Amino acid sequence: MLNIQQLSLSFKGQTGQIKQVFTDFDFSLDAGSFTVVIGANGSGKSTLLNLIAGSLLPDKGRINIAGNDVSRLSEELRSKFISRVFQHPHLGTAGELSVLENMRLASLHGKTKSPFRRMGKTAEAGIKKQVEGLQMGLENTLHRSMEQLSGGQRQALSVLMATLPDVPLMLLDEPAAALDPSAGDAVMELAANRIREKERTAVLVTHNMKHAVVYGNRLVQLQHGKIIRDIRGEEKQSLRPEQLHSWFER
Amino acid sequence: MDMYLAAIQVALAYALMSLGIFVTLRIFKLPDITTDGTFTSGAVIYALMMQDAEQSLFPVLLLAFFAGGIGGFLTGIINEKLRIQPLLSGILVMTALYSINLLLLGKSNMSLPMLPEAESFFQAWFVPLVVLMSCLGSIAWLLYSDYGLAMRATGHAEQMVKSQGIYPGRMRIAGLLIANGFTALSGAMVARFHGFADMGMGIGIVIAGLGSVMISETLMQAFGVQSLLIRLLMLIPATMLFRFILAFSLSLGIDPVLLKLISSMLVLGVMAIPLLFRKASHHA
Repeated sequence: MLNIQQLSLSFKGQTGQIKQVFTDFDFSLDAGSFTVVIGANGSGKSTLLNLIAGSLLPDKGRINIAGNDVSRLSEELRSKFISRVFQHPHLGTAGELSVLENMRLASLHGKTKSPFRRMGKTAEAGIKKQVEGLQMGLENTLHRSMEQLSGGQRQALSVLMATLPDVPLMLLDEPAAALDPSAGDAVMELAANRIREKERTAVLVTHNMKHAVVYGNRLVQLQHGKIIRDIRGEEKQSLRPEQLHSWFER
Repeated sequence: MDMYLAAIQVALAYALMSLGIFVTLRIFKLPDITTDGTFTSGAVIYALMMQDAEQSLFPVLLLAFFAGGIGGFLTGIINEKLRIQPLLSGILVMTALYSINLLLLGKSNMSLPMLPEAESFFQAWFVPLVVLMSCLGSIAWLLYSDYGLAMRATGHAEQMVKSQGIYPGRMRIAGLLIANGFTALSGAMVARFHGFADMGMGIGIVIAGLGSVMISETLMQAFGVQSLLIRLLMLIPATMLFRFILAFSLSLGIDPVLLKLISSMLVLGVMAIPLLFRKASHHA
């Protein structure tokens, strides 16, 4: 479903020094898989998501999603294949727009936004039903601006928005990192349920070892732009958070 | 009394510019100074087309809108394609427009024939009101459409917008085009009101638009209103209030030369007073 071949990326630091993040990096995902990526700061986790999403373009290499070569496509064009949940809820939702308007935009993900078309009653009812499905009472806040909601509520809607469009790949960049532990757990549970229901192929980047163990059917550890562990199936299910913590000890 | 009536009347023309400033500043969070040039462009086009008073008004206004729109479009292109900061892009286009406006007008100012007396009430109140309400209705209609939602999201969550497949650069260019179209329309209507076009009429005009937007925002906060439509509508009384304060200053015998200084102080006051109140209540 996702196939990355010979991917290389380097950055020029402030001192002019070249930092090689990935060199001939290969990575692939099976359709319907849910992969958790862990790694220390600077290991390349978020950079990998940004390369897949098109926020960064590689120096060389190919990225193929569902049979489409997207290597040189802009982030906007890749939206036809990808939906994202960002680390901060304010990155994935527009604060001044209402809940309803944010949801409307998500329902038009990757499609033309016409100046001659607007949200009708049917579309509004459809969105209300989707929000009701969250069972958080947010259907009563549809006309409130997003910035009036709590971080947890906003991130839950962000997850819902990312699972609305019918795209093959979903990227989650530390979706619980900016939330308190309880809200973070709730958001992760919601994300996992939605991914399962919609049978999405998903990649989750996280620093939360409990989440890394509980969610997904594959775990990948990155270090200095290289995969140093790739664990699947039963072995993945038998992992414990303490075990993962020990991998980071020096 | 006439002075205050005139202030309200001219505010109908200036409210179009406030609408333009609102689009760039509040919808896109862009500091755009192209305004100073496109405002004059609108006035120049109006003066050139209406100097014999035989041309019908609406095609001229449409032309002014497009001329201003081109100015905004150029600022957007410079900003997006050449990666030059929006403020600097605006300064570049504004400066270029000064020469173009002067070239078009051929002199530093031009007087226009006064409106026929018989039509004066209709011309003075009804026409500006229809133009203003048409623009306000159009922009409200656009901002509530699917395209408008994408525009509004661009100013507040660029990362989200990109991930939804929306090109934020294109949205900003469209926003600058529309905003400067309104500004040029405002310049044309102000030239119509005063009966002349002057090369200096756009200098510092952005402050007047900014002042009206700030007054409107302060009023909105005071009443706790968030609706976009009401925010747009509030620009009209806010512009009137701004013009009213300037008229009041003049009635006190203040030298008209000081009007720009008063405008700046007024905007500074509107921006600073809520902050000072907040600080005072925080320390109380």
